Amino acid sequence: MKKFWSAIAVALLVTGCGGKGFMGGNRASVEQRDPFEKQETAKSKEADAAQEDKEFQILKEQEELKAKLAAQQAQAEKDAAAAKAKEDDAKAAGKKPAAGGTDEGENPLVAPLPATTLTEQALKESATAMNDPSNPLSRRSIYFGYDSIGVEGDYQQVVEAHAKFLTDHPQVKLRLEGNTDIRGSREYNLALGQRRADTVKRALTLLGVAPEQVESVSFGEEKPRAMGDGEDAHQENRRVDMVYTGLESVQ
Amino acid sequence: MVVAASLPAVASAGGRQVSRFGLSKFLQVVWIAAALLCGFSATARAQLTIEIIGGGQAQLPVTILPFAGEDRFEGRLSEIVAADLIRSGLFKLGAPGDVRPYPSDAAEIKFGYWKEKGDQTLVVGKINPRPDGKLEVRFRMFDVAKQAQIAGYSYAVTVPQLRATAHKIADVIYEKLTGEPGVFSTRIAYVAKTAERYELHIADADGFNSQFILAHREPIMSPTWSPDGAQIAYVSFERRKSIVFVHNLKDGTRKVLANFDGSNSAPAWHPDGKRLAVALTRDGSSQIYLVNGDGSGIQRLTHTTSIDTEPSFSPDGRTLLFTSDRGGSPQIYRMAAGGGDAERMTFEGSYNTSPRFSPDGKSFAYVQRASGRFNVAIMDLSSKQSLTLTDTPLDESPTFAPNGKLILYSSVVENRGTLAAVSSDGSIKQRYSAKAPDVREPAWGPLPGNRQ
Repeated sequence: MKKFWSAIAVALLVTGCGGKGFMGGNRASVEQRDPFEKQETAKSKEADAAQEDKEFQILKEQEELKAKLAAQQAQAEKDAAAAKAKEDDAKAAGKKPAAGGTDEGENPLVAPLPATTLTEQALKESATAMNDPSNPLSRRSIYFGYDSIGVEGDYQQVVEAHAKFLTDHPQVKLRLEGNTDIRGSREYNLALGQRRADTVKRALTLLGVAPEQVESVSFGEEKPRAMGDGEDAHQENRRVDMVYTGLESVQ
Repeated sequence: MVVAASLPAVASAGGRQVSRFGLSKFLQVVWIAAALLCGFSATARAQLTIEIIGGGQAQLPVTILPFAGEDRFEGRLSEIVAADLIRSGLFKLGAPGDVRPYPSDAAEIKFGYWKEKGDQTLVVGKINPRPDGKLEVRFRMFDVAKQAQIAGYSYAVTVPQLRATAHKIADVIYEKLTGEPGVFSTRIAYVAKTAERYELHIADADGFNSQFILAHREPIMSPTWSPDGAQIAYVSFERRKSIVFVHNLKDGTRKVLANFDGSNSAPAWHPDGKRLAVALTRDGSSQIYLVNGDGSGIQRLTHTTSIDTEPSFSPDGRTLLFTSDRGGSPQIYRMAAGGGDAERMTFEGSYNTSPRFSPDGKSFAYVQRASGRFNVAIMDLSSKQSLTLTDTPLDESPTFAPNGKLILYSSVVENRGTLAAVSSDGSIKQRYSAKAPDVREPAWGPLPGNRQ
């Protein structure tokens, strides 16, 4: 898609239809905004470059992670082999397991069993759970009814999963982006989207999430995910998106 | 009653007589903008074109003859004047007659001929080079029956100012014949969405000379002109959240007016030009605040837990209209500009939003939902009677022309945003279309006299 538009842009430039050509009137203002335009392109190039860098970084990290995992697996196999060898040695030495005998007297010897101290540690949800479709953390949109701000049905479960994740990982930040369908007043919808985002934020903080961890904003009807004016599109657009930052610190 | 004529405004090749007679006979006129010169470079510019859909009742007859010397310039002056008047829906343009060369000054007019032909008002003019390199545009307007001049002006202008001069002449004719100021020399702002970005545009009221003053990848909404036309306040999402900016049109500088936690939106200028009302969610749900033009002195005006937004000041600055869902559904309320008790204004239907005071303060435009459609309506404040003005499904963002005669609004046609205008009595409709994928959020600027 992007390529398509840039092809059009190139075609326009080639045919000399770039813009200034048919901007009649106020030449001064046209020139005035030129630097801005350049700045924009520079910025977008910068953004593209940043994006590429980021993608490269992610690829690199994935490679490193793979190598690490392979090394760990090799070590585990080695350890298992060593343990087995030790056990075999013990068997060969003819060592018998200790057992109480009746020949030792009337009073049975009661040997205290050493307490097995089991330390239990809850495993925290890892960031990879975010992409596991069977995990509620993978659901990062909460949908709403028309003109409604209530978190309904199994979305409560989704909110709870994210609340747990956030309390487990206080260094992670969450941005809640409220959206509405495209019908009605843009300004009213902006306020409505904000209210939806705030409702989700309140639900999270009630579940123990620190308010500073969550920022709620609204795009109102300005950034519809689904185009068109059918009910399906409207439903898709009435939602709060959860956008995480700082996830790279979670492993 | 289909398309009568197309007037290539810049490429003025041929078709002159056709268009002139067409103008006099038909109401439906399509303007093809300069953008056509460049083929269908759809994404390149958001140049607007205007189509008249319905006509007014009684139309005022006026005959505008080609100005002597106008052929040497792109965009014939007399055609721009005629197109302005036609678009208002209030005028009936007369045929130019058989006199050659066209009379261009008082002494050349044989009133008997024009009287015989049935003309009532005749406009003639000429463009002459001046020694200083500028052009002199002279025009005179006559009452044919009385053989008397109604108005006559001379302008010293440069070539790029010819369009503006034509609009000025159209304003004079409009005012002389209707008694109301014309709005042909005003400007409009609107937001264009292209495949890549959002652009805030300023254009002449006829859609020409459109140029953007801000462009980025995130949405822009709610532009609104300061009373003197020197600044525009708007909401920009360039920092991934809604922030209100005030943009100086002269030097292109801008400053943040409101950037608090949550949403910052719905700027509305106080008529004094020094303060603005805004909607903020910094204290909970959306509430209305008053803030100085530099962002200082913030003062909360509503105190509810509901959504209060879209403030609009009365022209005397004493009253605020706004949207609130305090009654369970979004409705329009009125309160004193300093805050206090609010009176509910709309009762019909479960969704009434986006109030805008008319320039005379006697009525307000708003958006009402009925049978699943969103339409622009107008309510008279003394009788509380309302009138639905539009009939397309998703109409929004009404904004008054500074003379109160037209209301510009946005509409959606085939999933694409477009602009349209309707007269405040609903009789005349115009549709603007742009060579851009999507235009919305119009704001009509003030009369030039208000500019500094």
